[in-house]
Amino acid sequence: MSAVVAEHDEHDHHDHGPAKGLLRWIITTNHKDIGTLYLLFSLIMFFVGGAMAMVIRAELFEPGMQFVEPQFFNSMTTMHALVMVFGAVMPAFVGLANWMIPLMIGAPDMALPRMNNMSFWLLVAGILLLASTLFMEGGAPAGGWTLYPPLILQTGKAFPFAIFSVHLLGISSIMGAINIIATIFNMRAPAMTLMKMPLFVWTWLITAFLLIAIMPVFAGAVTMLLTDRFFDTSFFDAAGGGDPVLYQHIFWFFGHPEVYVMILPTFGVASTIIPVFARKPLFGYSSMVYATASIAFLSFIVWAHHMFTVGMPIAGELYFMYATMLIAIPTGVKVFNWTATMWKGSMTFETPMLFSIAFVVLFTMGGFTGLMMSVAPVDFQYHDTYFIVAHFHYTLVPASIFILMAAGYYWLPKWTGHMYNERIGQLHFWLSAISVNVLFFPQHFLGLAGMPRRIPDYAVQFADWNMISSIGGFIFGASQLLFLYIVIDTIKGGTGEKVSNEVWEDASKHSLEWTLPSPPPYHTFTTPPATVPSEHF
Amino acid sequence: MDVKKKNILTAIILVIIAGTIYVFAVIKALSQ
Repeated sequence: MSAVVAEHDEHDHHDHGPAKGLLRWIITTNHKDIGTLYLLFSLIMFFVGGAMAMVIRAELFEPGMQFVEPQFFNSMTTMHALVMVFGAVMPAFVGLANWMIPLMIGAPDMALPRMNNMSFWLLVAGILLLASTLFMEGGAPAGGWTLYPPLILQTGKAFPFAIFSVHLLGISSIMGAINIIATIFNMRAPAMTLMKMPLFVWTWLITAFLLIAIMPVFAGAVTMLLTDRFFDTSFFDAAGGGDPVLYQHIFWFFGHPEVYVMILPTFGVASTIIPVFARKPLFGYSSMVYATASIAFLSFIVWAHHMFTVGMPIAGELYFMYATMLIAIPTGVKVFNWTATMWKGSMTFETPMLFSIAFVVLFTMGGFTGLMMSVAPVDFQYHDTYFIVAHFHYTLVPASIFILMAAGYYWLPKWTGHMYNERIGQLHFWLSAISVNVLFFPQHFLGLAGMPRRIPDYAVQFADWNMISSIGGFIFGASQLLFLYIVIDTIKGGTGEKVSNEVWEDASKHSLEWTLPSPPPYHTFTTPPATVPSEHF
Repeated sequence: MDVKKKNILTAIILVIIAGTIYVFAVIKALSQ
């Protein structure tokens, strides 16, 4: 670390401020600028993916065909998933990582700033390419986000573009992950030992390793799809001696850890916010670190629980069933630790804390339905029904998305130097928390009653719960506009109240970013901090 | 070691790991 300081002192002291105008945002290598770009891009994609979800819920409002063609409906389910996973949730967490990791570990910037810029712009290129498939002959991919062959091979002109877009998104993610690992390993302030790092940094370190291990696998799988379609290979074609189930194995070897790529940083943010508003140190810091690592390890050895119905040998079913159940143990450790952190704390309920508490409760519900599905014989009933849709939306919307909202409210005052409007924030929370349950809870009933996923029309017995689910969806979608309003309003000055360095009471005892001015200057920690917060130990 | 060199070395090692996994995934599928 001393090398960084020495080098900084050696070179000429030219202007360190940002470039002017639009060019600043295109060529920037500053971690705060790139973090902002990622966060704004993901916010836009959240609304694009959300609009697609509105199309889905409008079509499913009542039985029969209402607004769109079945092919377009299937494109919507596929694109909604791809946009939300690769365009909204993942980039939002990368944005938070860019902004917060250097500030939390006392580093002047990310380790590889030029590569950082390139990862962001490759992401934009990848998503634009993916979006362009909507306007191509034959429509956008419609075989589901899993891109299963042989169905996905029927995609029209859009097919190679979608595959190339996945490659670009994969390269962008790998470069982001490399940057995060290099930053955390090499750029920490001398006093910031690994076991003193904030949980958000720890969860991102583990997530980055997950990304490096899984993204090449996904890239390999889609490359094989490409050669099957255009170069007469038969990786996944039974007629040529291949096996479509092989694709499912490869995909889920990527796909299951991918779920944890979206949830581990969620855990990290929750572990950052809850102690501040409970005014207590995080309960069981080291067990949180080990639980995160355990979840990451287990995520690699459970993939075939997504494929219980493909006809695996019974020994395989049993193995994947029990291995999957094991994940409940480290996850339970985390839920109990968050609860114990709040226990007898002097809690206050500002918007970030409200979203975090809702996350603990609702994520646990999503986790429990996951445990139900891990039971292989029972999964035969749940497979490909709305029960699955309800399960993973509980783990992604009131978990990842709620925590992203919490992170937004928590750090917006730090980023902008302005306070957001707490009353509108609370209104946003209550509308979201109620409507998200109206939206997704009935989908458990629909799934148990046998309604399949990815269909534009359904039997009349599913009508009532679908209508209720759609109403919840419309309210949830509309209430997110409040968040958009708050973000814009806060950037423009918010309540007009000038916030302190700490923003939240005693926050600087928890993490380094609260020792800096709000907003922090363009360059921070050019000299590493001498001491680091030790509240958790 | 100078921190800039350390960063680049870390990146190179991670790129090699990612590349190996990619090649391994395809070779594994070829051998089915």
